[in-house]
Amino acid sequence: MNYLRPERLDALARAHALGTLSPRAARRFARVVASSADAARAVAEWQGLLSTLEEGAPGSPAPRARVWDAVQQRLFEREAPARAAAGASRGASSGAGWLRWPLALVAGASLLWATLAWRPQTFGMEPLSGAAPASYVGVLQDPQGRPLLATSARRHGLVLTVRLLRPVAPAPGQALTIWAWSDTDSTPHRIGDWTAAGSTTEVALPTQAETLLGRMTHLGLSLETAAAVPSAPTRPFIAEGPCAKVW
Amino acid sequence: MARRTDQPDNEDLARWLSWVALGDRRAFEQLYRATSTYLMAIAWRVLQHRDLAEEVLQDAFVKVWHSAGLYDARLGLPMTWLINIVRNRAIDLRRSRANSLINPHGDGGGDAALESLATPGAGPEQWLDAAIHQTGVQECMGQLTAAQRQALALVYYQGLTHVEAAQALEAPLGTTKAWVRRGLDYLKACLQGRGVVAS
Repeated sequence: MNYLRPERLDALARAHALGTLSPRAARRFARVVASSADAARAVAEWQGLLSTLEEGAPGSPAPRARVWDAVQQRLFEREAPARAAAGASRGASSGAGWLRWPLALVAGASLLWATLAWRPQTFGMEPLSGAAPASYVGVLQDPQGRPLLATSARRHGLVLTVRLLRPVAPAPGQALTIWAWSDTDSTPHRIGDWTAAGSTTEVALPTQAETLLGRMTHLGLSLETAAAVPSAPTRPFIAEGPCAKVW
Repeated sequence: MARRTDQPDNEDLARWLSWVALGDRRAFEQLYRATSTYLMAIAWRVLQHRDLAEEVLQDAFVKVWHSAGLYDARLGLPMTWLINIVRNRAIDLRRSRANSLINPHGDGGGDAALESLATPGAGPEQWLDAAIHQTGVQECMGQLTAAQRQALALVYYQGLTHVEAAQALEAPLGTTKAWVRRGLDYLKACLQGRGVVAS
């Protein structure tokens, strides 16, 4: 059956969003949605329409405090042993020699792409336009006021390019972690981390830089435990600086 | 009956979700504090039972923590994404306990505050009326037949299957399906025509 014929797709998307497909049909259609952008868009369109039916509907009492406690318990109570196991697993897999060459190829291609995109003049090429692309840019200085790190992320990009301007050598098990905060909310939020000691690294962002950095005015760099995913810096910043919109 | 005016700003939600995808527990708590009461009401309307609605909320936020990175802003608003996680989980739970759980009149889980929400005259059809009124497109509602409104409200707000809705309305299954389908298709065209949802 061709699920992607427009009329059929719309009917399935409507039923999927509404929740009226049988469990078996729902599972089958979920696979279609996962593999087809058209199907995902069709479902999202119906979900958006149905969500308007929430407006003006009656509320309920707030959930009791035990709900949040239970969520935290389920997610984080056994976190430490799980992370240790994950770290051990990463250590074991790092010995897989067959992965090294493909990974090196991917890393090399990524570096080439980043260099072409960021500094095309390295290869004797010029940017297509004289204007720099709309980006979030930061230059972080150490406590002595010396530039330590430059960062750049295209406004709608999913990558933060970080370039160490002076060597920083994380100890084994440590990661360089970048944080951002705003003038109105001084709470630092973790943006990403990396362990490579190379001068230029691309840090993947989970969503567009605009969403993550749009209201941020400051960036900070700290050294954190690599296996941990801290929600707040656990150590002093080794560099700080402004986060500026360049457009 | 109190109507909800507490829907958080979608820009904040998108930012918190992206931080949650990076493992930020404080952003996760901000997201929970900002949305949990709103989302609880969705689970309650399907289950009409406080303890079970809270169980759904708990499951949903565990899922949000693990899958925040899957939220795609190109496909929809963050609140829509959250609503669907909660509503789908509530419907799954309702159907898995269909024979033992649902009191069609809503027992509120023994909670007086919730029982007050399940009073006569404040059922799914009235919630649908209120939603359409809130969006300022009452003419869309005026075009729906009473049967379409009833069927649509039962299936959307309470997560009834077509079979259950047909039984509740004492109507043939095929007719009930057609009420829901035509009602939704009409609402879609009407809301799109008035720019309430994207076309």
